[in-house]
Amino acid sequence: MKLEIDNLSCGYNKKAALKNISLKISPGEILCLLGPNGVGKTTFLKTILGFLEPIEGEVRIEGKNIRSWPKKKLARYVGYIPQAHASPFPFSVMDIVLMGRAAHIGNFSKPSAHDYREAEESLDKLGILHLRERIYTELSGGERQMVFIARAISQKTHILLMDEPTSSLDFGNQARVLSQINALASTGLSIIMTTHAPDHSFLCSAQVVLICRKNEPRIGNAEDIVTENNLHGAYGVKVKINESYLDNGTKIHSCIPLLDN
Amino acid sequence: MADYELVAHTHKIADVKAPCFAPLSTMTLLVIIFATVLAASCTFGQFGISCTTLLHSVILKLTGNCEQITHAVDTVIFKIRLPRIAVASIIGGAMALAGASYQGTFKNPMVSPDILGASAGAGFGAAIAILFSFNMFFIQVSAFALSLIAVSLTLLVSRIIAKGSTAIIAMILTGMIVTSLFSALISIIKYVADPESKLPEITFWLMGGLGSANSSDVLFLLPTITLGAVPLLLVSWRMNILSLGDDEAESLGIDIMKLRLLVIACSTLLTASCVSICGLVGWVGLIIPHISRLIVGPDFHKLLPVSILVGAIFLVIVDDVARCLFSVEIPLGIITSIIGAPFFMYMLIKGKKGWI
Repeated sequence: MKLEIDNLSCGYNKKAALKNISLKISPGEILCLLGPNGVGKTTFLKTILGFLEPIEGEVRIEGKNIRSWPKKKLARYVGYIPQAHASPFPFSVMDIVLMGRAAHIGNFSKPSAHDYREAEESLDKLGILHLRERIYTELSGGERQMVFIARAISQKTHILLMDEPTSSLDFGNQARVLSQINALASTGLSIIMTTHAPDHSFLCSAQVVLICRKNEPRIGNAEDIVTENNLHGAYGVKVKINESYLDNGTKIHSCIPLLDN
Repeated sequence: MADYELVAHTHKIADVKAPCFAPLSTMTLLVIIFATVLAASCTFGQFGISCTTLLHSVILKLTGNCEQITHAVDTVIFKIRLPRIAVASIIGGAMALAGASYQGTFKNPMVSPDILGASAGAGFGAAIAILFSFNMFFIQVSAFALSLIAVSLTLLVSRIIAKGSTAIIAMILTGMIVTSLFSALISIIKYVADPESKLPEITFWLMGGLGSANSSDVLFLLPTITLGAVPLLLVSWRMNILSLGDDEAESLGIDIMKLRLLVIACSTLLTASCVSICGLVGWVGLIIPHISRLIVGPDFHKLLPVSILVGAIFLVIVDDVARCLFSVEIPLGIITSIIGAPFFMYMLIKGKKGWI
């Protein structure tokens, strides 16, 4: 299941925030969208999700333009995990995860025993089956993010889009969510996520699209794109990238911003 | 990094069954309460009817021995009280259902058809129709059309104010403006109406009441209420998703425009049908879904049937109070407002963050 983005320009009201982006993602690959606030990362995600019409270019799944696909068909291929939010109604965790099954159920039907099973299995895969009966609005930010991931798993899509999956999470929960993202990719899912931490692109050994205000977006492997120069160009601050080695010899990178004073 | 794998955890997944509608025990209990309230209501009133007389007459009626029932008892139970109680339960259920559905589509537990101007619009529509002596059918059509116009106006203006988003405070304020506009229009109708015949008719009707409810009203309500209620019950599970917000619902495969349009049209039809029969009876659509949510939780699939039953029970009881408390009947709308206004205040005070 290949996602191809061909010469895509996207934005609101025909004003392109991003121009001429072309890339391909294969199963099991992770793509990180990096760039300063307001540069159009979320706009890009919304265009792939079909919320926004592309201004130019097209998004193809399995070689077919998704532009005219009905929402339900698209939802069987592409899943979306929004930034953490609170619903006005205190749904249970199970209620939320079951919603992932909507794309597989008739318009006037309700979830069947099979759908309940799928939902429970998704919770189980993430090790949060014990949260099943809890009220989702009363969960911590990290748990809530896990519930959304479970919902995306139960949606059984091939591609998963995540809008800042680690924002507003503490240090430990960020690491846990990133582990799950890697685990999901290893099952063959393609994942596109926006993030504010360049480190994450190394942790997920991802492809990177680095979006700048002035230059064309840079696209490539994390090690080629996330460099001190490029980060300085995109964010306007000096950055030091360290390489260090774990005991087993694995190389890891970390980015440290250098403060002015 | 490839070391990560999804390992099934040791929790046992028990054999899962999909629950149907609300828990059976809750529904059974509510049905029993409803039946009790119905029976009790038949005995209340100025013409005293004991429980045994009621039971006796019902059995005679069911077995086809109508001639053994005394004429007075027959008239009071089967021609006056029973139709009125039936109308009260249908309207209570329909208004609660419409209110719960509105709350789902507008992602907020604080909205109801009266707050968004639907009732005032329907009131204006019906008042015009009464002024021109239209028949019941056209009163209903006119109420529905203007109700829909009023809600659309509220949505349109609040969208402009909130710049595309659906800020609830903008919606409630716009609803107030639209309501007051339509109230002014109603006043014009009253001002020009014939003070001998039309004015009292419109005035009493606006205060809300079931004093003139009869069995033809039941026949008249059933088709429109069914038309509005069945689609809502069918999409009840999807309302859960709609209540999360547009982007999320769309990414889960919901055609939000179509679904929202369906829900608004059906709920407005329910509201307009109720208003055209019983006048302006406010607050039911706001209070009942809340009480029901306390009973079964927020899942709309369970909430809607429970709301219907609780709404029916509530309005039958309120109507009993309206007709029995004093020797003169109190308009129904006055009582629901006296109960509803403090309840709404209480909810605002106790309400969770994000409701406004």
